[in-house]
Amino acid sequence: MHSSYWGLVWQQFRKHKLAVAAAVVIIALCLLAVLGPVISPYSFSSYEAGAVLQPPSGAHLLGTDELGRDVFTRLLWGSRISLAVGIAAMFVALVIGTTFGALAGYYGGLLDNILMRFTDLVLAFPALFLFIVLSAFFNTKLIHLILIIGGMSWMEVARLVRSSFLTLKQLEFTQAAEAMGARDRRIILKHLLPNALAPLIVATTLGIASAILYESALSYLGLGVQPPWPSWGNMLSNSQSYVWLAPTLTIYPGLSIFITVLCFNLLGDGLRDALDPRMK
Amino acid sequence: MRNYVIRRLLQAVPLLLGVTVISFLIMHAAPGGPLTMYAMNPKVSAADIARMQAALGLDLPLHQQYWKWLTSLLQGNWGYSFTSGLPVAKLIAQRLPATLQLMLASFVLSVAVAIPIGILSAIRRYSVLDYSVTILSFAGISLPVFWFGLMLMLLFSVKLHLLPSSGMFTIGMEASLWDRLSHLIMPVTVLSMASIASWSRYMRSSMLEVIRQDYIQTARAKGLAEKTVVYKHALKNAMIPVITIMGVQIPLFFTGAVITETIFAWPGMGRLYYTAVLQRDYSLLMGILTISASLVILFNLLTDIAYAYFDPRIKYD
Repeated sequence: MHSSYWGLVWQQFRKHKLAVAAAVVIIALCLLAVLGPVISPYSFSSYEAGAVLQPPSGAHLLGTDELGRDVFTRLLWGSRISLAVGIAAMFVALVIGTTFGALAGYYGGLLDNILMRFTDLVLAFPALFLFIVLSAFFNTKLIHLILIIGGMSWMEVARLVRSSFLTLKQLEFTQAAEAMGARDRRIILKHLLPNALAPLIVATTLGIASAILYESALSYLGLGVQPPWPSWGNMLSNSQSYVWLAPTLTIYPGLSIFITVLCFNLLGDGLRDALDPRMK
Repeated sequence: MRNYVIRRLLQAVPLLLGVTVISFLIMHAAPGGPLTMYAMNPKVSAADIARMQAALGLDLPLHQQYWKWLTSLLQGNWGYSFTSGLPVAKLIAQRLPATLQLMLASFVLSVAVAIPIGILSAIRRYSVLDYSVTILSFAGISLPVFWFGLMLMLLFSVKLHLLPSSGMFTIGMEASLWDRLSHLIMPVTVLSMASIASWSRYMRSSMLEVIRQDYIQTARAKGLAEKTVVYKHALKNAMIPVITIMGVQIPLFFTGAVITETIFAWPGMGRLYYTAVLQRDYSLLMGILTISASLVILFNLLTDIAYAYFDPRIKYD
């Protein structure tokens, strides 16, 4: 029997079979993504003009696409990009959001007001509108994509951190630290933040899910990952024109997005139950 | 209640101003500026570009440009589209009703489906209905909108030939209710799916939390019929966090609308926005951004008013 906090969390988490299964799938996906270039004998852009739109065969596990490229390889490479962008974008969102939320929650008053009004303002803009504009203007390098998606996802994190801090600030251990003369930065980083972690972890997991959805939406619209680099989104939009000849081509990328996002959502939900049963 | 509404209206004004500022800044922060298209054309000389800049007022300091734009905006002159030369306000007015139709229908559908499903799930916890709803809602929030739309189109338009695959109405045919509806069904379903999935879950968990409260037990002990207890007392309290979520997720309808309109060739503002971006049509973009964000703020205001209806306590905040 575990008695530590994280031990208890793990115990509670294990009870959610679905969430555990989701975690396993995600780990497998990450492994596939990392090992992708090694696993497949093809490159994601090498094509055979003669073997266009082939069904699955021994040579091509999932067949070939409209240019004769191996679909399975491209799916693997797409997973690299989707996972990388999703995780990195969420990281950016975490950094920005935690800073905003911690400052607003800890100092309160006018700073809180200003920061939160600004957050509300950014929230008023429909995310995709801003994505589209920003990614069309700045060239579609991956880092820009990550920054943009992260830049639209930090608001939820900020609100969460702020409300955690507001609650935690009233607790005795904070007042004790203040009474002992600890500097603000130390209190925030060492005392308050670690205790605000639980909802943050949940929000991060769910945030990765939506970041992946956004990246594929942008790539679908042609504003994200550019060909010949494969992203599940642009694979989907490419296959649209060939839906009569090879309908299954539209299914693979969409299914990949769906499964990945679903697993992150299930994982986030399981974590939410495990980390704080009251949050049900 | 009236004071509350007035207060919220006043609070919305600086937000709207902020929206205009951000819209403006975004457009002008973009590298290349509005005349990039011309600059890339070898036939256009540098002198011509300079002339165009002066004519469009692009060489004025930034805050002057902003002020000019804002004042004209408030007077009803939203500028002219760079690509088509048509007034921006006219273009937006042409497309806005279509988008609003789509979003409103989707919102109504989402509320009509998600709330009852959430309530039923909560009442019959752990039943077959509950589990299937949970599974479906996880699927719903994980489904990429464009993929879902494509699949629906494949199934209903291509394979079954049941529903039209694009547009708002059949050209040349007289306007009939069925025609409009059949064009509306798929886009609205696609747009509503994510909200139905998410809101039913929130409704369920909120309902579960409320039903456990002491005052519900008191109501039952008083001898009230179960229906009254659930629908009159529990529901009203459970709606409070749900309304908050609905308000927060309103921008998502705009987001979804862009993709849905693109897939189903729906003649709305989302598609206009997309094509404007590709053409770097700054004045049109600024107009659309401003109006969408303003609409979001307006809908949030309406949500807050509904919130005050369900939770009278906040009127005295």
